[in-house]
Amino acid sequence: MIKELITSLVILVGAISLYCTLGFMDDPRAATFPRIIIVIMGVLALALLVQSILMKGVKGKAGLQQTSVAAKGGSGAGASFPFETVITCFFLIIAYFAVMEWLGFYFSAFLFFSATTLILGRNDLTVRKGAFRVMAAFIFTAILFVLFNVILVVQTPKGLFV
Amino acid sequence: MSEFLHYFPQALTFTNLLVLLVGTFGGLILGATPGLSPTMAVALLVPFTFHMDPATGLILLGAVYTSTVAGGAISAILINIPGAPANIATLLDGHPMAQQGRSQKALYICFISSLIGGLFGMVVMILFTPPLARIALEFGPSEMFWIAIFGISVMAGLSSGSIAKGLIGGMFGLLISTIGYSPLLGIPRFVFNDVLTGGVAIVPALIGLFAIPQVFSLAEKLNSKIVQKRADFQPEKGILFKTIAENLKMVKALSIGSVVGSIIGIIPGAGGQVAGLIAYDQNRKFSKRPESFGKGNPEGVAAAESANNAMVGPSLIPLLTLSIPGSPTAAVLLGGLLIHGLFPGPDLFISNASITYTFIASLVLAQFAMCGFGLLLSRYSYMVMSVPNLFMIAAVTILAVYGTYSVQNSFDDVIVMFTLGTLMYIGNKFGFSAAPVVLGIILGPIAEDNFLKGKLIADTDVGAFSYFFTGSMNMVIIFLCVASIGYSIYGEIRAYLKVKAKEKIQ
Repeated sequence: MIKELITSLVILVGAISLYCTLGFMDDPRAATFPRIIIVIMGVLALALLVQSILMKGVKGKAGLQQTSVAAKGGSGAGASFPFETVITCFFLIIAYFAVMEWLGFYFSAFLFFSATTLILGRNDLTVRKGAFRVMAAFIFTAILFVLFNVILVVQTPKGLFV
Repeated sequence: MSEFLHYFPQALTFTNLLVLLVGTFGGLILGATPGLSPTMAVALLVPFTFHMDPATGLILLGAVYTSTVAGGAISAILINIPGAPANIATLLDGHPMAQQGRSQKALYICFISSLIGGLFGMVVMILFTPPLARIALEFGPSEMFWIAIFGISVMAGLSSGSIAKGLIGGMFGLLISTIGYSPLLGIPRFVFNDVLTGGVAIVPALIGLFAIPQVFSLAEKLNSKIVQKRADFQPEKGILFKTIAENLKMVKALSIGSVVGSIIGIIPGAGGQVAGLIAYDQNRKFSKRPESFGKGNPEGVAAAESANNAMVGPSLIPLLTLSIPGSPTAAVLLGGLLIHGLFPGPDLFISNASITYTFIASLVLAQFAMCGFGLLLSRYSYMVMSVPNLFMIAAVTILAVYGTYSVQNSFDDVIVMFTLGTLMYIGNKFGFSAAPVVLGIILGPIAEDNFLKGKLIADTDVGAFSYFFTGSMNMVIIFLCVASIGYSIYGEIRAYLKVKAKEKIQ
């Protein structure tokens, strides 16, 4: 109920804010189509709000809502959300983007692959496993390099390395 | 049919055949890999087709689309996790067969039935697509606008548990498509940052919305204590020909599967999941031994797999003729068509007949390649299950970045891709699905362009209401939109009442 309430309110506030920005457009005709879409979004957010109020208190309601993110794979339903792992993954990707243009696509990809497998998999890390993961990173990057750089000659960000 | 036969040899050129075989092989592996969805696999491949000629690029996407559906059965049978929603019915009897030490037989039946169902579906597609495309020739801006809205309404109902959330997703996608310069007036809209000046291109959106949530979702499962049940794989020697003979005798299961799959495939939005489950259920009802279903009956696997593959061809009929994809993967395929400058509709079968019929011919060939590779891979398929999630996280992220960057050599696209993907991951947590958003982004320009054209015509003629809301074809499409949304609402209310009744009993 609270989740649905927050969702509909966030969408409603977002829709109102976007609607306000339409007034700043140089030609109002350019805003015709977005205006209709935003109004419909607002109405749908209200519908969601009404729906969440009408369906409140149903314990099994989660069963009505399917998320598509994990169409496969047994998710950890019932387990606590692994916030630390997900946020680490997020910052590893940000770090990868930050160094990509500076170090070059392939070298940064190698570093990212190694760092991800070593840091996210640190719970069961041994010297042997660590070496295997770095080797896997090297082989994966080498395949990418040969396929895209040598065979297909595709342009990628070039930095200090490749 | 004559056009199909005329262009068939073009699918047999060395390059096209090579791409077809590589795509089918890769698709089977991607489909079988737990954690990689077929939709994401096709989305990641779209940018790779840029460097190919349109027909070859589409052959790659089509081959992967076909084979990922069949490949998904491998994980359904061996580890009880459907590779795609389309494979849910397969695990009902496939996994019990594997638990009884008959994994290989289950896999053989799966691929042979997939071939039979897939070929039946392709015949339906070849016969029905051109006539339907000719009907689309009559469509003006108002009909095209409603068709775009119908596509979004169908996907909204299909992909989310809540129709309101699905439609909000679709509207959000339409809104994203308006970022950048207005098509008719050249006025900037929603350009809050320089990164957005060029708007949001289809490929970064496709990759971001499907791949990045999957990366985070894989990260979530890294330390999961849940142990996946993995059936012991016991290769059996010399059972191939025996299984083929046995499989071909399952005429009832294969017929029910193929016919149900084809009918469900034509209905936009119904999807392979529904096809597989209905075919499975009907087969059980008509069986002399209904009690054996769910306990490892090969006929259950045959019905489910022939149905979900029979659905592939017919699901492309509304896509190729009316721009309405039958499934999320078909929506990505639509993106692939558009970036090659191919617009669904009659033009596809007239001006671009060579590309279109070569693509259709390759889909027929892909069925044979899928079956051949599937039978060969069956002995080694358990190895695919062993790829650690850690490696998948790193590999998918790198491929997503590469695929996005290579389109326009733009780092801005990478930022857009990651931002959309992160937002989608959060949206997933609140019950939103990527498919309607993607379809909104893809169909947005078509909807806006036709809406504005229609409005111009209406302003000088009968007025906007009469132009958009009257006329037999408009009324039919509007009725379909309302029916699609109404049916989803009805389904939600029914599910809600069921839960409420259950709670009362408890």
